[in-house]
Amino acid sequence: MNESTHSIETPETPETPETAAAAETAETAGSVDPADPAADGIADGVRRSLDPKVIPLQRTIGGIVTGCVSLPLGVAFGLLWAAAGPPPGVVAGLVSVWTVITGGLGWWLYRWPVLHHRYASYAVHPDGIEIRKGVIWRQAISVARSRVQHTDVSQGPLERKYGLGTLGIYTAGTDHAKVSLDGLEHETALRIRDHLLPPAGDDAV
Amino acid sequence: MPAGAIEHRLHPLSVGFSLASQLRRAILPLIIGGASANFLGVVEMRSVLLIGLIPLVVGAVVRYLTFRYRYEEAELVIRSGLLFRRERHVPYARIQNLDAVQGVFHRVLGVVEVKLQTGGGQEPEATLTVLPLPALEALRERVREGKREAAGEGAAAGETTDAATGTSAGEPATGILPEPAATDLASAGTPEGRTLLHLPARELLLHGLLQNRGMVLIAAAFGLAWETGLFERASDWVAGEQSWLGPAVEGAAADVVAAGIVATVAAIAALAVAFVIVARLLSVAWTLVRLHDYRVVRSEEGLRATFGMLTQVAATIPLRRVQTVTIHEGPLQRWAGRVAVGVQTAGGSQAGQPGNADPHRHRLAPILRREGLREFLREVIPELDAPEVGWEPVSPLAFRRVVRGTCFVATIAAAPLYFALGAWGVAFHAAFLAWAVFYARRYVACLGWALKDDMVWFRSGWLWRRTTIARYTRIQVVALRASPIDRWRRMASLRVDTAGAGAASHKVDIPYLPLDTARHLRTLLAAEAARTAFRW
Repeated sequence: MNESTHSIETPETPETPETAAAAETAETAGSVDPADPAADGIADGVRRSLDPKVIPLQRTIGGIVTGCVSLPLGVAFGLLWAAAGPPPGVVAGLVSVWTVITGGLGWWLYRWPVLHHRYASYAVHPDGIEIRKGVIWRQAISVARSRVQHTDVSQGPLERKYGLGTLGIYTAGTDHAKVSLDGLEHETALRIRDHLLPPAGDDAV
Repeated sequence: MPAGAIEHRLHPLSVGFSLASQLRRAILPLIIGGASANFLGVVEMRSVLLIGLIPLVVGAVVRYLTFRYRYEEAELVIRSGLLFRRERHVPYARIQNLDAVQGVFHRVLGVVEVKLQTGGGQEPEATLTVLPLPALEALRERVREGKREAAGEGAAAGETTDAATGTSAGEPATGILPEPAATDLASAGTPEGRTLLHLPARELLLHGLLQNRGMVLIAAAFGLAWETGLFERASDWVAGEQSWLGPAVEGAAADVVAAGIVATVAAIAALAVAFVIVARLLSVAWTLVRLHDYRVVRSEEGLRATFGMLTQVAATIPLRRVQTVTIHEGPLQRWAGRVAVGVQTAGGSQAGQPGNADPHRHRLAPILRREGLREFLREVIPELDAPEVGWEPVSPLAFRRVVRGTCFVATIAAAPLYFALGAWGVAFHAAFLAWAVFYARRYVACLGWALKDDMVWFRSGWLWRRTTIARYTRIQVVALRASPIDRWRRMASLRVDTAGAGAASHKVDIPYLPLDTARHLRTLLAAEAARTAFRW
């Protein structure tokens, strides 16, 4: 029951990453092993939020998605109007359905990235990584460094524009064979990847 | 030992066996294609079948001619393919399981089908269809040697090797292959080791009775009869106009109708009972044939299960490949004082395709006396020490959540009865609700977890209870999950992910934990996983 002996800590209030980070900094500052060559600053056990640039990135994607849904829908409704010439009541109904769908989706995809960013965080420890994500279904995932089979950092075209990257951590597990963390600064993602890479000569498989 | 670059081929009979397995897969599309072509009047069905056969035959011959394997110092190298060449290197030390399957034809001809599985993927890494029996023994010897070397290296590097693979009994690794004279797996190369489990006919009989395999068989027979149009013929035969049985059946039906509702119900009940009896008898027969002479032997290479009367299977599981162990108890098993033990290994533990060894990977011990469970487990997990596990309950609020769900289901199920029976529906609804409450109580009472001997234990299920054990060294990922209701009730579920857990297998996924307990467990297990090295 002595939690302070374990390096992967669980803060008491996961809903507020700021206070958690503060608490954890105080608690685990001493636990970083200076002899570990990989602990080059990133592996300090501090809980970090994702890069705030992830919010505009996801909003851009959300805008594209909204456009892809509402444009064809609008065209379809327009064609229906032109071809069948339904009574004005039906037209008003179609317009309001279109407005509700576009507005709702747009608003939701505009609002969601903020929530996603608020509830997503990570903490890199000398011996592993801890990831939290999920707005409605919250998850806290711990992957030990000794269990990492391989890692990758990917960057889509939009992510490249914002200088972000997605870290993929692969384990031998089944449900969590791949643990991914998006919305990291590309540089940070690379640093975490380098840290999590299994030490050379360790034949884990 | 280095055999140089001597390349081996499969047994020439491979052509026949691989053709047969291809045919089994292709026969239905061929028949459908042929029948439709026949129907359209393009060609005759026979010629379609013949034309369809040619590529299959050519494929089988080419496969045989291009398939080579050789033993390198530390790996098995398999080359295959004519246009698209493929060379696979399978290090001996990475081979998870080595399964040998011998059907009736295999046995008559003295050959065997061998499946190699490594850590990745659900499919076998390599299937050798088919090898002569001595070659299997040579392959086994290689794998054994490769493992021993790997284990030696591991120990030298000071890693946390499992006690299971260490202790190499001083068998000289000279590569002198035993020459099995017999042509079946049971007698060929029986490993020197202790027999952990041997199921005599009496236990198999009991197993067949307890486990309802018969239903599956009947369903399969039903499906087959349906596909082949046997039903129509049978119904013609029984009740058709020319049938001598026809009048008798009609007479019986008329009698039943005349006798009224009581007799009808009695007749249906009798039929149901007869059906159950037939199903159980089939189950017993199937078990006696399929698991004939079931034996688990612990030897230097790990655990080897051999069984089968017609199709003989020899499945080898290296001990350190065992990821999790699951104990299965059904209501009948519990009544008879028996349990079943299954193990999950990292190499393709997916149940599925009938005819191969995989479904039995789930049940290393299909039936085992309760008294012998502890001892058997200790052979599979040497670290296991505890005589008794102190189970920790889930949150006290769990019952309230579960009972809401079961009562909801009971209400939905009872709703049609109100329409059908009117006021009587109330009685049924009440009975359903009582059952829902009772079930929820039992279900929650049976949920339990424990940390013991550096392992996570998780138990769930009331009637069909399953207990899964995962060692800390086998933990891959620890994840805490909280749904909105979980957060409202300050609970969380904890998933301990391991390698080799199939979609249908019981996993360590503890629901309804108090939030603080869940957090503590996650912290602790993550730290334990970080502390130890994982070795496949």
